[in-house]
Amino acid sequence: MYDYHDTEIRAERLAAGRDHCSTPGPVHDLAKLLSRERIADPEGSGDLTTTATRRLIYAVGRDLKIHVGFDGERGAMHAVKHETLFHNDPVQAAGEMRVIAGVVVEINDRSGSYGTTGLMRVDRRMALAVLTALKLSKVPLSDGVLDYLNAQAGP
Amino acid sequence: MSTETLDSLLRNDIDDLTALACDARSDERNALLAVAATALVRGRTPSRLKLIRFVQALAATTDAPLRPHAGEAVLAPLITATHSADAVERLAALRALAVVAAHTEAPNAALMHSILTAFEHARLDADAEIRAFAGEILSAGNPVFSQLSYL
Repeated sequence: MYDYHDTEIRAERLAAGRDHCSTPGPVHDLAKLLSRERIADPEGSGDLTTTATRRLIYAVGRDLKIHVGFDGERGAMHAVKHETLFHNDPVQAAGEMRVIAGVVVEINDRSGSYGTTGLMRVDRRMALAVLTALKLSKVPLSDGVLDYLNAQAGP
Repeated sequence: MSTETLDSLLRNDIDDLTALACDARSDERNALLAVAATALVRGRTPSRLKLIRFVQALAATTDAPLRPHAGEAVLAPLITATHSADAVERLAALRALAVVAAHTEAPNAALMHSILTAFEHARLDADAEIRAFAGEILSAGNPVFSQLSYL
C-alpha cells in the first residue's frame, strides 16, 4: 500500500495550505461512470476524452475500487489531487489515465503524493491491483493498455 | 548544477519535482542525479523523503537506461538509506533503489550484490510493508530480481 497521511510531504503541504485530502471533489467511482461499455464524461454528455489540460488521475483503493478525478492546480480551492481520491487513505496504486472516446488508451504510475512513479515496472503487485481493479469495474481498455498491464503484472 | 540549486529545487512541491523529472532532457537528468547523489550522502535533511522520491522519478522517467556511472552514483547512497532508523525513509529508499536498479545499464557486480543484500536484509525488517516489498522484489520473475540474480 502507498501511504500519504503521515509523510513529511503532507506535513509540508498542510503548513503551506496546499494539501487536498479534504477537498470534497468531484471524485468519481470509475465503475459508476460506465455507460454502454464506455467511460462517460462526468462533466458533459457522451464518452470521455481527456486532454493535456483535462488530465484524469486515478487511485486504486484497499477494496480495489478505482476513484478518478480531473487533476487540479495544487493550492487552488477545491482542486482534486491524488490524495483527494480516497481522502487520505492508503492506496494500492496511483497514476494518470489517458482516455479517448470512453476507452483507456494509456495508463501510468505517476503520482508525487503517493511516490508511485516508476513502481509499476518493479512491483508486480501494483500492476496486478490496477489490472484487477479495471477488470472488476469492467472498464474498457485498449489492447495496448491490456498488454502493458499484463506484462507488468507477470504470469 | 550545484547542491544549492538542488536545495532550491527541493523547496518545490513533489508534484512539481515529478513533472520536472518527466520533462528533463538526458543531460539535465544526469546532472540532477549526480547532485542528488551528493545530497543523499549528506544525511538527513528536512526534504530527505522528497529527495529520494525525486531520484526515483528521475530514474523512472528516462527513455534510455541510465549509464552505469550515473546509476551507480545514486545506488550506493540509496543502499545506505535503506538502513535509516526511520521506517518511512527505509521504504522510500528501497522503492527508489528498485526503480534505479531496474533502469541502470549493467551496474557493477559488487554493487548488485549490495543491492541484493539490502533487499535480503529488508525482508527481515520490523515493518510489514517493507518486508512485503522486499519479498516481492526477491521473488521469482520479478524484473529487478532477474537482473540481480545474474550474479
